[in-house]
Amino acid sequence: MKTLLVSLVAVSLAGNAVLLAWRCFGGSVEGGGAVPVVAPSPLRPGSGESGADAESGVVQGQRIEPTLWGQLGASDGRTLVTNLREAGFPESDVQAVVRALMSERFTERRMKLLAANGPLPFWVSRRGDGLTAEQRAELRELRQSHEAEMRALLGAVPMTESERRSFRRVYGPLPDATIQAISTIQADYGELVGEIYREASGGMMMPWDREKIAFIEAEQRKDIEAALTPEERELHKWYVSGTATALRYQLQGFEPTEAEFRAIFAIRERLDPPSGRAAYIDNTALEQRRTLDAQAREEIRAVLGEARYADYERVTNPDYRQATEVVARLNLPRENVMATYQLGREMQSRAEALRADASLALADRAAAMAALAAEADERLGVILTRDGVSVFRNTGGSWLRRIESMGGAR
Amino acid sequence: MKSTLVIVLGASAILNAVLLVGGPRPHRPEVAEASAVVVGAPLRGDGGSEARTAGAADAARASAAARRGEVGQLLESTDLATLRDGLRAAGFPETIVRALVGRRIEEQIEARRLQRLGPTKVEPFWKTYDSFEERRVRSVERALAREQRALSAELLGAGAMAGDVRAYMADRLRFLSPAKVELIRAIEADYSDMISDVRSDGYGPGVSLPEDQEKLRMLQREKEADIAAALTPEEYELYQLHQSSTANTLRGRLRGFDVTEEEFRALYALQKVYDDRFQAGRIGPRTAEEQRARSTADRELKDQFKVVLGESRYAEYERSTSSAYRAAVNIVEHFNLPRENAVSVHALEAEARRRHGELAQSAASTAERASAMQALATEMAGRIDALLGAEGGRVFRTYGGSWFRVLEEQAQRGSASARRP
Repeated sequence: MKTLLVSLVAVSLAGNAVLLAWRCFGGSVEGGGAVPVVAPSPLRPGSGESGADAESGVVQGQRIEPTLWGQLGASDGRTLVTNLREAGFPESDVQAVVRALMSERFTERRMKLLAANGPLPFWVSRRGDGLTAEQRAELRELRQSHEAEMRALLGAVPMTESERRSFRRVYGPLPDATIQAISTIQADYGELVGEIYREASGGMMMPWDREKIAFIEAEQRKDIEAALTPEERELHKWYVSGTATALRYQLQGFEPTEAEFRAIFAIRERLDPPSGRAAYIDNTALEQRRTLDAQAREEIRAVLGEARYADYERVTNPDYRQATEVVARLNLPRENVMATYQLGREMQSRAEALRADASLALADRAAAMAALAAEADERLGVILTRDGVSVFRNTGGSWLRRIESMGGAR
Repeated sequence: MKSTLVIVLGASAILNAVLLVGGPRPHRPEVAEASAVVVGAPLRGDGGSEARTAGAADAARASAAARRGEVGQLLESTDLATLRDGLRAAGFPETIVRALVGRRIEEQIEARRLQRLGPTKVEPFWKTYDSFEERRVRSVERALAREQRALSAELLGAGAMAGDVRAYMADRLRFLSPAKVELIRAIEADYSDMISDVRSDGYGPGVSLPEDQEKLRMLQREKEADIAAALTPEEYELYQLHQSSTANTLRGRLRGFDVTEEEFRALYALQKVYDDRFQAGRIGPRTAEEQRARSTADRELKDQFKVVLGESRYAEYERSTSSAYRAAVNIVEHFNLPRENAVSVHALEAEARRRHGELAQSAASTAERASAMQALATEMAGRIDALLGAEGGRVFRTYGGSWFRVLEEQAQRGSASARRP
């Protein structure tokens, strides 16, 4: 009996031990020691007010697994991208996450490099971004490796809609991949040109600096052409070349047909002097420009015919261009551009007639000019408003100021 | 003894009953038993590895499914505040929260852009620029950008700095705490947006209205007041010395001068008064009256600089700001010549001007004056070449030494005049 009692006590006590252990450690995984994955309850849809307590992991009344980010494997790009996709993040989110991580890495490296340079006293000049040429080269390589990594992970360097829009405005209807290739080439060569500007002592560009820039620009052109198909090269010329870009601005109001634009482009591309950062404009270059410009105008006249050439002359006249900018700035009707321009032509013609009138005494001529200036001012005020006349006078208005000065006004 | 055993047995039995049926049971994961793993954690190894691998794969799939469920619910939320808080609760770093919420804000703005401006077209290459249309589109885009910034600020706080801005600010404002750097950055960003809006309104070749200038002046004053309010007086003074446009412009001008801290502070104080009066960085041309007032103030400022620096240091300062001197410095550096040769070339300019002036005032005949001026130009060319070398001299005369080109042109005109009957 006593033996039975002892046995029962032993068994019962063993049971206590087992049950106690089960209570305390009953959620553990056998062996291994890995942390259990707790499948959280699904969230309720957002109700407009967050009502969240992010710190406690409760959002909209539901508890959120606080280790979700950690589970995605952010230390390894490939794992992260795979897990993000598997977890249901749309591709645009995956791209945004990768871009953000790369950007953060880049910024941290940049900040470390700047910190290593030590503080610069406020009285000491520092050129540009505060980095040395070697540090900029390192960051350039880092940027290139990030782009390569993004291509490997995502298939391409991601582009936002806003970026795509800006690029297409400049480059025309090229595919994303081509635009990115060009953009990368331009960024790389742009940094090299930036180095030259930064290192130019006293901010002065010397002939050897311009030669280096000319060389870099030539290499950039070669690399861009190599990145394009023949059809894309043609498009690139029409959208990006300096001549085409300048023409689109200068011909505002002319509304050329495609054929007219191509014809004018061909003449201007041949006769326009070299532009760009390598160009140095001295008196000789200015004189040469004037000669070539006159030749270009004659050739354009022959191509367009007299009527269209008259339109071309009008829109390329500085007075017309100034009228366009002032009317646009003042939010006045578009037709006021032509009205301003025509008033200027009329006034200049009448002023010329007064100047040429030998029968007028000096004082009479001055009085007539003053009256003409007053009439111009009044009529211009109707077209541009009184405030607009001040703007017009201060931003150019050469014909008005000339007539006013001939009339004795200061 | 027997009664003790009975008591122990009874207590133990009661304890067993309590442990078995009373209170909440320990939680068991819903995933597959016995082999739940954390993604990334190593699987268990030896003994029954196939079964355990298969079990681990099942567990991983179940984990992924669970995550997909949770993430799906989170991402479906159209309330960005809920998304933001959900991401934070899920342990997403703030950079990623900003990226994901920011992307959705951009989407909303893109949708608004589409409503207001229609789909983006790539115009044919022969379509010319249109100032009127450009203004309309820019106005809408600026309004949308303001909306985007406001929404970002509401949801994400003052806003993360773009990487290069953050690095720049941290570098330039080391004397401030990180919290104050962020505060200053936010103020600067706000005003930069407002100033940029005013400048954009006045874009185009110098077309700005009088009210644009007044708006810029007001914004500049308010910005300085807001920043001053955020900093102690000592911090604000340092901020101005590091960051103000006056300080930046002054540093640029003093590049070749080797200025001391004391000199810089004194020059800065004078330049700031001038810049505040004439609104440095304004847009659009100045009226004739403004130009006259500015010319007078320029002369006064130079005199004040002379007083601060003293005659000798002022001469060094003037030399360092001369473009001809800077060209000469570039040339001696490029051709590895002594630095003092650039100083000597600079001194030639003053000598040439003095001697030219004397010749112009002399009682000599036109022909004699022309001959003397030509001889002066030739002498100066020779002395420049002696200091900078033949090639350096050529570069100097062509690209940097405008005083020499003027001397040469005047000598040539004088010779041409002398030859006329």
